[in-house]
Amino acid sequence: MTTVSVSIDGRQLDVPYDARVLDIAREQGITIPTMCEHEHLKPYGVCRVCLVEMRQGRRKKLVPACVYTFREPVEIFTDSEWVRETRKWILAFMLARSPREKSNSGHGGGARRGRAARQAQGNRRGQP
Amino acid sequence: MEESCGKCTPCREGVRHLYDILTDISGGRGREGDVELLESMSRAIMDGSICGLGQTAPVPLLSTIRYFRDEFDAHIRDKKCPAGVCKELVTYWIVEEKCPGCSLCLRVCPTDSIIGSKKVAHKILTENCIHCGACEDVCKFGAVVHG
Ligand code: FES
Repeated sequence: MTTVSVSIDGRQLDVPYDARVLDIAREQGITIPTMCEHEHLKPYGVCRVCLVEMRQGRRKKLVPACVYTFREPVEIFTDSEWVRETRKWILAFMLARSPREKSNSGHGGGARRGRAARQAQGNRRGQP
Repeated sequence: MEESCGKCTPCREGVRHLYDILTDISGGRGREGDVELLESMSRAIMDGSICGLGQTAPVPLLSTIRYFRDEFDAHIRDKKCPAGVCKELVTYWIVEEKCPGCSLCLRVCPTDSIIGSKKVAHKILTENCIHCGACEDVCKFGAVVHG
């Protein structure tokens, strides 16, 4: 079996070629939040909650841990500032849609949704 | 916004938020900090989206912020549209010297916000004016102006 040497949050690992970031992270006890991922579904990679930072040399990118697989020696950061900031916004976008956000009830259109998102983001501050 | 396929969250939801906030700003409902809000939201949308649509949709917004920051501030702080483009933020008035009192604008006003009688310069009652611009379009003398 071919392996790739990669790192997740600073841990050096040899992982099987094409192993999923999410699975390796779970094996390592690293929690990556997920939403659209489910064991009975094919990975779809659309909610973007599981985004992690991938670095390869000077190239860096946010990739969804539920579909991204290790094929090259890359570094993964599951909790960088960049990841946190982006993830917070994505969760805020979802929360802004929740029935508890009054601003989304239809009255006055959705004009306040942006603020709802900001509020939702504010409420989540300090959470992983 | 209409083009988003809706598959991934940041593009589907985020771009709509950007639109809503921008609409608020151009309607004089912008708040301090909205520009920063737009910027940080844009970042997340561009970094988090799957395809080129979400990755580039906020780009024109970010460049307008970069080059016309003062316009944003004018809308948010002074509730003014310096370019006189945002309908909700402009006021219309009649330049008395130029108005011969033809009553054309008076008849065309959908909210009857223009008063005056024939041959006397008319006046726009700003309280009821809906900034539709019909009077300006119809005036042959260039007496109706906005800003
Ligand atoms: S869990 Fe939804 S994109 Fe990965």
